[in-house]
Amino acid sequence: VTGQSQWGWTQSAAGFAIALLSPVLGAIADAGGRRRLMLALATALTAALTALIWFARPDPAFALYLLVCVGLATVAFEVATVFYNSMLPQVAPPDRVGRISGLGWGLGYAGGLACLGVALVALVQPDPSPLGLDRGQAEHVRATALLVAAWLAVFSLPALLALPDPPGAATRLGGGRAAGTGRDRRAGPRAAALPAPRAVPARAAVLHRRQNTLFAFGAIYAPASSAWASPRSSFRHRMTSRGGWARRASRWCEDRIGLRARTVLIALAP
Amino acid sequence: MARLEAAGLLDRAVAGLPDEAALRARAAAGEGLTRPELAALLPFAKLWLLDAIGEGALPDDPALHPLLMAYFPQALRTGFAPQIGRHRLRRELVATILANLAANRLGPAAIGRLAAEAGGEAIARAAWLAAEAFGIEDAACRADAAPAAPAMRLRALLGLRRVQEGVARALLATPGPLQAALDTLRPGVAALAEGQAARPSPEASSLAADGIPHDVAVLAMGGSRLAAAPAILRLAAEAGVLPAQAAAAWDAAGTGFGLDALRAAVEAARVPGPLGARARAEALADLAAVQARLARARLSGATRRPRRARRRRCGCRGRRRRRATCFPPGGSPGARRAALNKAFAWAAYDWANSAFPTVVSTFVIAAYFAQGVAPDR
Repeated sequence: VTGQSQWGWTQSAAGFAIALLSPVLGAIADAGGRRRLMLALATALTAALTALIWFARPDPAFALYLLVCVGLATVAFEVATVFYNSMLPQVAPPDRVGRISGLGWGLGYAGGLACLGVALVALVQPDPSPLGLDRGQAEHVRATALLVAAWLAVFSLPALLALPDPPGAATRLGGGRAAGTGRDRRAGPRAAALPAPRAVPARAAVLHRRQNTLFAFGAIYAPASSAWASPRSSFRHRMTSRGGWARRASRWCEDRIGLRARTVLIALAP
Repeated sequence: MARLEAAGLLDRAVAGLPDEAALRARAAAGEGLTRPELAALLPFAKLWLLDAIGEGALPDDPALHPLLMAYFPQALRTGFAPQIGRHRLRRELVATILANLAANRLGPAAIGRLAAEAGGEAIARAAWLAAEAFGIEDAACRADAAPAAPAMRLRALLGLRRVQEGVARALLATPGPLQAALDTLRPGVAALAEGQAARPSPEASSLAADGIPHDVAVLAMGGSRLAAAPAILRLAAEAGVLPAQAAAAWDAAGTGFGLDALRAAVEAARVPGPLGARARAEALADLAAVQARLARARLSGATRRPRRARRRRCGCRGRRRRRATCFPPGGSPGARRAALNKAFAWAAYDWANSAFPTVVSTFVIAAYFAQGVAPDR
């Protein structure tokens, strides 16, 4: 129970920090700012903090160290996501926002599953490990952190290289910050390019948060209450794949029906 | 009523109007407001409109000048026309006249429905435009004076009210000066009304047989068909065809896809609750948009093989890819490819960063922490 509750507290603390940070960062990002640089920094930070998990040996003395790494990495991860999402209007015309974004979700789930599969097949399962990893020191599990770090660094390159900041974006962070605090009206027209700008984050926040919670705790309870999850755990597959489909379906609905109040109305009207 | 109360205009207890509970009971019994209650409500609707109009720029519209002139007696009009135009209360006068016109012809219920979609000024504006474009005011007077049974006259007036409400709803968002809007509407409306008069509906014929002037009967029984006039005219202007052709395409789309039946069902549906009226309006707007799209496709002759045509324009192969990523619809192949590459580069980041929540926060590291680093004791 100790481990579970500590993990839960870390996730909550990270979530709280994100809740405080992301509105400000989001406004900065939407106002232009140097999105690519910020995305690169946040991604690099996430990857670096994730790689540091490698040094957490299976010993209660490393519990705090691991939690700090994971907590900070989670914050960095979410910050990167904010900047990543703010780049969506650059790649998607307004009527395709839902589809491109859905493509992202789809690839995201595929990527998550693929990385998990590689981690299990190449690192966790082989015994003895072909890479000479010491199972006694749980190196075969710790190495997955290095894999994730490398995965992040390599596969984020296309986005970082192919998507320059839009022309006319605020070159200094200061300009963006003024917009971020809501006193600068320049954010207006840019935000207006998105369909119902407020609805996107609200809907995403609800769905995203709820699923993250479900995932985070679902998976941590499962191995603790039963045996350590088998590689083909139906629980894992069902959770990941169904989440992906639900999101894709919701994205599709967005493009089809339109994001505006109509979706809500359809839900509410008898 | 709730809206009027919220605006601080109405106190139901004072005005002798039923409260929410009584209204619900009546709605359940299939009853509405009684005549005296409607009469009591009407002035409040006018007050609400008046307030809304008085604040905006609408009373200054030059197209409304004749209303102001008509308010003064003939003698003043001939001798003091310039002074009337500078009258200190001219804005208030015009606003009052507009509010009265709109409320008298549409009635409080229609204004309540329209108010779910737009503000008072837009409603008064659209009501005036609709009345002017179709000659509702004149038709209503003639229907009232016709040598017909009272029930028939009432039916004609109710029909006119329905047409005006439908047209006004379609015109709520009309921008620009009134005269310009009216000038773009009038020729098309005349053409459409002629077409309608040439083959009157059975209801219109029976109404005309009962003593209502023929053209008034046709107008009054035009119903949703005439309410679609603004949309049809927009369609005609966009496709560059005559209003009659646009109307034919509109009708074909309506009957061919069963949209008319859908519309009738939406209009007849019971929609309780504060969002009901708005949901209905959205559904009707959706139907109109769909019908306009279908009619436009029909006019441009693109209905025959839409899938093939779209795929070719898009330049992607395969159904899946087309649906997922074909954009922008225009542009050179190079530009499209660049846009597609960007979209994939962007989406690839999701592939990259999903590894973190999946492996670290959820499955492997989370379990490692709970079991290997800080196990249960």
